[in-house]
Amino acid sequence: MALVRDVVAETLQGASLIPVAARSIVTTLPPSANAEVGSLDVVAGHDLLRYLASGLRVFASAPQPALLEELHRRITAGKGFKPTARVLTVTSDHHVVMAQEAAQGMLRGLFKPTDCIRVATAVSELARNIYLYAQTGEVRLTLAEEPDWSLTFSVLAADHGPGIPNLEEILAGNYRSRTGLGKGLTGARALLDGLDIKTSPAGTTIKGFKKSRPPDPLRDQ
Amino acid sequence: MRLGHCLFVLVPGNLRDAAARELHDAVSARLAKEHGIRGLVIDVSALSIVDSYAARVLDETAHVARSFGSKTVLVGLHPEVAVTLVELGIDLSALDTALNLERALAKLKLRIVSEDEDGPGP
Repeated sequence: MALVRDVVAETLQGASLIPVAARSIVTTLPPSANAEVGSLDVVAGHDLLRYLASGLRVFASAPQPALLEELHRRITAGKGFKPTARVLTVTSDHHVVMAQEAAQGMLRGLFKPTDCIRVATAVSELARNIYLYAQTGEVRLTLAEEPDWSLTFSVLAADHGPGIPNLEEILAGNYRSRTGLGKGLTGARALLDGLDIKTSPAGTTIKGFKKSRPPDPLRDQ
Repeated sequence: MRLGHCLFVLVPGNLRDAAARELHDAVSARLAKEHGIRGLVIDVSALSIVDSYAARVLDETAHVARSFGSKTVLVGLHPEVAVTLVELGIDLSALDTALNLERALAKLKLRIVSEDEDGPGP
């Protein structure tokens, strides 16, 4: 298999760039360029693309969207970047902080700063609910690329706790818990683009997602 | 840290629930024990995320301070965090906020008096 670095060099040579510009961009590529074509995940891949976009702006004085699109296609072997996933077991308040950091680390630079905080806060609420009400559970964070390069972050919070008996009351906003402000679930719902809650005495599964908003982080240069 | 009539509290980043609770208890204990604290300044600039739990602890701390006759001002709240708190539906109206320490002190209308550290207060 070809390396990302070689494919980038080849693509830039084929483009109408002055050779020294292409060489400068290639010699200063980040370490992720040593991966095989098609193996990069969304976070590493978009980091690389942003690097290439800024490189093209500096050396070729234009963002060159068509060239970037070709680079994207060839780096990913036409399949798009692999989703980035993090799975965290939640058993204490320490894991709540870890979930916040994981969400922030995943989205930093890819989502708008305010959306990063929104998502990390929503993840924090869901993780905290697990440790407060179910003691143990799992939070799965995924960042996936859509065909149009926009990104979708999703969170899956699952536990085998006692379930949420008064879900409707909570979602109606009339509930005030002992431990929080009763804002955890309604807050997470408000901060994300969608939240789906399935709960029973056997456990609770909550799925939420947030899309990166236009302007796309790659073109917003 | 106490300076004159003010108590300054620096909230560390990556705040765990237990640590938030301890901070609240420590501040409450000082407010109860020491006389003449008229202003509480809480610096939250290290907090990149304030969720409903942290917000509730801050709110409770401000209420304790109020019951001991102190006003509370939050300093260094990140704009993204402020936006998120509003969207979470959290009401922090018990807390005053200020851009920096200087403005916080102006809001508290207090001057830092180095003497009278452990005095009986006004």
